[in-house]
Amino acid sequence: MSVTERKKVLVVEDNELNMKLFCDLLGAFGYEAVQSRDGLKTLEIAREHKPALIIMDINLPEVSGLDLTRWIKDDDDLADIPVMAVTAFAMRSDEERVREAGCEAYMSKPIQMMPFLNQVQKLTEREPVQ
Amino acid sequence: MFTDQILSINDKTGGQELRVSPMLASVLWLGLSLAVAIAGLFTGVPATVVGATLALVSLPSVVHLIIGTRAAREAHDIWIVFAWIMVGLICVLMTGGASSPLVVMLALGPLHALSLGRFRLGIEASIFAGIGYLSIAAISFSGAALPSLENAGALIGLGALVSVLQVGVFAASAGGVINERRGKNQEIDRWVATLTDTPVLVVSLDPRRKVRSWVGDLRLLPGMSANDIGHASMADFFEAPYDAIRGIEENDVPELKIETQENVHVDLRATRDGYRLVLTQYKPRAVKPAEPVAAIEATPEPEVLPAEPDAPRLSDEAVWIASLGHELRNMLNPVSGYSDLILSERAGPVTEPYKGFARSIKQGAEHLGLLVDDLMTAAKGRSGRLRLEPEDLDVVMEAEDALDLIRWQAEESGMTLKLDAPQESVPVYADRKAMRQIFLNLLSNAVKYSPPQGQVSLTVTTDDAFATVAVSDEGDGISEAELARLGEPFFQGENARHRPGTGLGLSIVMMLSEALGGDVHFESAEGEGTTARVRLPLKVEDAEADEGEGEAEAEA
Repeated sequence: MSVTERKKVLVVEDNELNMKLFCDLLGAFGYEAVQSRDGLKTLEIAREHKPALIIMDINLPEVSGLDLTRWIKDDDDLADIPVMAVTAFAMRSDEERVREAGCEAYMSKPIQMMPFLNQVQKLTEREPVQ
Repeated sequence: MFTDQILSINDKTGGQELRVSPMLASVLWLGLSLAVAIAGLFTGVPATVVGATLALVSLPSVVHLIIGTRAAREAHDIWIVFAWIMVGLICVLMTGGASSPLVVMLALGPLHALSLGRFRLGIEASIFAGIGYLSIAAISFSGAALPSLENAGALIGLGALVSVLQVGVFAASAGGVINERRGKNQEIDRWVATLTDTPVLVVSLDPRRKVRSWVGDLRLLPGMSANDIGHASMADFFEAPYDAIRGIEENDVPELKIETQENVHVDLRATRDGYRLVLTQYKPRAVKPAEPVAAIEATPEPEVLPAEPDAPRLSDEAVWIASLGHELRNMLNPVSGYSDLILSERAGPVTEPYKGFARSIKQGAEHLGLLVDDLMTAAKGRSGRLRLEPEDLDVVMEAEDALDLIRWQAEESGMTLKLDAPQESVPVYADRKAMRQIFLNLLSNAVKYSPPQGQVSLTVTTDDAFATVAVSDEGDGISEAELARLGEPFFQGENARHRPGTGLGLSIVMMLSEALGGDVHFESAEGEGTTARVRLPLKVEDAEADEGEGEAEAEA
């Protein structure tokens, strides 16, 4: 598979180790991970890279991932990019809030690798892994 | 005031509380009383006098050691302090009145109160002792005959000995030789302060409203240095400290009079041994940066809006635990994710022993995840934020599912699981997650405490109004005393000490069963295993037939 065929996935995550995990996971399964550690710069980065999917941590330092998602969904250029929320909050009301904000999918940490990859694949409309 | 100074030093040594542990104080006191009694016998004080005095002064300590409650401790402190004063007064009276050298013994009561860390009691004791002394002086001056004792000399010697011992205890307490670390509270403060991203400053104040210790982010109070805060008292934080304390009950804590950073939430609450002032900086809601092109160079400062109305009050202990849970889960993610990645062999082949290691890491992470979930459920229950979504369920089916989930764990140690349930369905209207957690917690407890090769059985029965699910194990059982404490958060019985667990499992079961309209009972005898019985209300077929309890059974 050539590099140009790899689909880009933008990972918005402020925790280094988690960022590394998502990048390694995505890299190992044939995606190209683009990183954003800074909530406020995410829109800029998304515009630049046009990712096939955004993986969004909800609990970010400056701005909540939910607000970020709302801005993305309000933006004509970016609204079509699916957003998968990933959060370590495991409260039932959170899933509702995540859906309301416009996220297409929701996963709670700790993630299970296979469901996570299946979801990524579904949202980026890739051919099945292997 | 002299004593005040001593206590200030005492309170702030190393930021931890230094004072005699109540239990130790009781034991010390008993030892002291005994020593004096024995000495008294040897020096020829009549045995009846010694016995009576010993009974009088040791009773509260004995009660305290047996009952051990806070109320008993309070009463015990007061009793001992006033017993000291009475002993002092009697000694003075018997050895020549106002001019007796044993006047020094009158200081023992107040000193004892101070060594227990009870400043107010000390003052009260001083006043009481003063009044007593004045009365004796008055009797002396009026020329009335004072009783005399033949062995006054021995009594003086004894009094001096007791005084020295008591001053020694006080000095040991003040110097921090005997100290009690306030375990959990402070530990949790520290965790929260270091583990969460939220800037938190927790200031612990003693009952006299002076700062005992602090932990967290001092930058929340720009005007205060570490030294300032170490010597501060409630009055340094609030314009009217008494209003602030009154505000605790009404949940209306006034603003701080000193400068804080922006968006700082102030919370004050009463604790077991003083007050706790908690400052948390909540996250302001950021505003979307200006339109893209303009944003390239000039990233606007996020404008600060008022906090979201439903922003959690981070000072709430339960919310703290939840945010702790959040951090733990966040860090479990790489642990479990990387184990998965290793096992997937996407980065090259992994040989067997290493695969096994990765599986163990994964198992550990999964177990830790369960514990965190327990912790968070308990926290939600405590803060009243538990939300149930009832639906039509079949108890038997849910029980079967729960058994399936626990099966691998049981079979690993050769246990058998037995289900004894009616053929037909047992309908309830309940929250699935809550019910599953009840069953799982009880089953995993039963598996945990069963001997290898033992049997864990789950029995479903019904009566007029309730479905009863009984989970029995063949473990060592639980003593009566421990049985009474089951369900207390963090309580773990004697034989649970060396087993993994949070001590929250049963308190969650109790909380959830009550939330579902049922209850839990435990039956156990040592050596005979334990049975937990959960009752859940059966679904009433007709919405209006709330009182027709027989209906659910009619199906059976």
